[in-house]
Amino acid sequence: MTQDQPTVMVQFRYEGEPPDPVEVAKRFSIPEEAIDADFGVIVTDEVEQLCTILVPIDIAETINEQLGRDMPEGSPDEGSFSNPRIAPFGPPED
Amino acid sequence: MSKVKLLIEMDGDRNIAAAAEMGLDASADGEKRMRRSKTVTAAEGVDGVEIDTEFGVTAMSDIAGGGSFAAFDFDFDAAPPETEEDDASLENFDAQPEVDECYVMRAEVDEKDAEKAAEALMKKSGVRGVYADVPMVPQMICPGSPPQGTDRTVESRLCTSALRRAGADGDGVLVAIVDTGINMAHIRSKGKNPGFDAARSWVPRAGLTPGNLPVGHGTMCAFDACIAAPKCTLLDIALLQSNRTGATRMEGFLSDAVRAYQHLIRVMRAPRRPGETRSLVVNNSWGMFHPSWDFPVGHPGNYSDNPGHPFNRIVTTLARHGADILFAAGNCGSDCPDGRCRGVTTRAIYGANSHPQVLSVAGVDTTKTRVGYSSKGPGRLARNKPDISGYTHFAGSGVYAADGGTSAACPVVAGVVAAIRTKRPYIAGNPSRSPASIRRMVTSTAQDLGTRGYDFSHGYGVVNGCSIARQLRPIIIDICRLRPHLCRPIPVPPDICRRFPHLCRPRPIPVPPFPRPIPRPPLPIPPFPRPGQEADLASYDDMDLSSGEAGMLDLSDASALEELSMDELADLFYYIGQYQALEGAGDASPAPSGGDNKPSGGCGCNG
Repeated sequence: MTQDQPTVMVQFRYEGEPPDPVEVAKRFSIPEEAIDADFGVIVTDEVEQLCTILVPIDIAETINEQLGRDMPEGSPDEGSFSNPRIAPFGPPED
Repeated sequence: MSKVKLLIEMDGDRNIAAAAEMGLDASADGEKRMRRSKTVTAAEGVDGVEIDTEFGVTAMSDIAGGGSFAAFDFDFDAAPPETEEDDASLENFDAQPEVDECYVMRAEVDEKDAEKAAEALMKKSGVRGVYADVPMVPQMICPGSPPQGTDRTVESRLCTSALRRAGADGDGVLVAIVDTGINMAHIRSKGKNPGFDAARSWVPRAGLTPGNLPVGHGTMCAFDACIAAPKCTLLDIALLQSNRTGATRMEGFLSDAVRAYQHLIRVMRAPRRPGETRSLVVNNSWGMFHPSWDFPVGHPGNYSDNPGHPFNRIVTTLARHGADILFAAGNCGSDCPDGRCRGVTTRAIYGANSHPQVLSVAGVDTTKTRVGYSSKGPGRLARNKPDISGYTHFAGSGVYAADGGTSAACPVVAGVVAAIRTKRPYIAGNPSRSPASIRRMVTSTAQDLGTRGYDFSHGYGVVNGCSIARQLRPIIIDICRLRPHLCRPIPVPPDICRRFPHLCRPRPIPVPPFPRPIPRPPLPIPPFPRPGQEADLASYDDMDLSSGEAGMLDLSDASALEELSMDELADLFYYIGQYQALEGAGDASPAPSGGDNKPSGGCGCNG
């Protein structure tokens, strides 16, 4: 994955122990290198058993289809999420 | 007919001084004392002049600039003392000479009569001067405004001395500065000397050394956190280190924040070092400036309005682990927003900056006036945002001309939270130590600003270190002064050993070589009880022990036993032993409490 490629975060549920990138790649049938290695797999909510990966937008669409994100019965907690830029609220600029 | 207000400068007398001490809130007593003053009575006698008793009387020494009228602060705060100067002026009041003191009160008069009234007032005894009380509109701080006050002013506003006296200085508390990185050398060069933990710091990529990053926004935030928490331990979470090609300023992506928070969760879950608490304060002086940075509202992957977004989820998770999380509200206030807001100033507290489980911090200057760029609520995730205001736009870290933006306000409040945590460290499962309880403490003690109660400009008001310090001070109740009967020595009847045998078990005591057997004079009362005295003995059980009516043996005072000579001690134990022998030492009466044969606390018998 190149650094300048637009990315999104994809959040999904896991069962048991949080998966590693290899298991995630296998589960969603995506290339392992598509998953941002620095980001890895991060547990974002251990109570709801949700974890997140960082992938390019086209890969996220593939995963969304599998998660049923666009289906009415799809979980709002699962699927791709924005990765907006952020900046310091430093001394304000005119 | 319109009225104008006049300020009357006058000499002090005993009644004026008393009224001034009672404060400006015109209590009934204050008004009474004011009206007893001859100067006030004389002023009231002038035609058309009405004294403003709600304004009360103010000593000029209480006003910035001391006795100089030119330096009169028209925004003088009418609230109870909220700064160290206020506190000190009241504490020192009695010590100040009364005669040279100068006071000011306010009067109202019809506009057409004002000049004549002023002349008449000037002729009254004790009146030094009469001035127009010109209505003033405070100058609002905007981007580019010069700094107002310094970090010393902020220290004073926060009552950091009082916080330190209460033991609240950030000691033992981790403060994570999630920002562009910290330069510890710069912070130390500016007189702050907090701890630094490189091992628990975090950088998003190789080649960055925590604590040794270029001086910038993160360094400013770290410095400002140390204003109230000079002994905290800083963690450098250098999130805003852009790795984008062509980036022109320190920026990052929200995914970096997710990584940083994963690290902070690990910090919270890791075993603590001996003596360490689990307190972690997380400062976030960053966010989004414009909705176009995000997926549109309504998109299922949107961040700004979506509590299910991975970052909003992980904020919840970190809060659940006990971290106190603070976010700056943002710089998109409607009066003079940051240019990057591109004119969007409504509902401009986005995403985690309006998370229900964080303290969202607005900005006020050191005169407690909201800075014009501070974002207003309602928030997008939780409606009642911001929660609290912190001081900003002062000269402090030296990184910028002013430590400005809600960026500076946030770590100022984070420092106060860290100071609180020194005295109220996080304890998992204890509701009074939860992040929510600390948020409540900060908001409930805030000095209300703007409209009464909560408002979207200031939240619950400006953080009030003075009030927090009062809450943190240990409560010392002299129970013996309040309830002396509880502290009277309780006389113990001679049958103590029958009733509480565990107190009287012979204990080995160091006895110097002594002729054995010890020659003993005949005991005054063997055998015990003497025939015919059983009834007396039984009556001890019903005796009012507090009355001391029976000349009883007082074993409640350990120091009294310490004063006994070895001979006297030996006599005492011999007596007890004899008594036990007569009563049957093996009598297993139940212990009065606990039943575990431990001596009762406070009894001198336990040697």
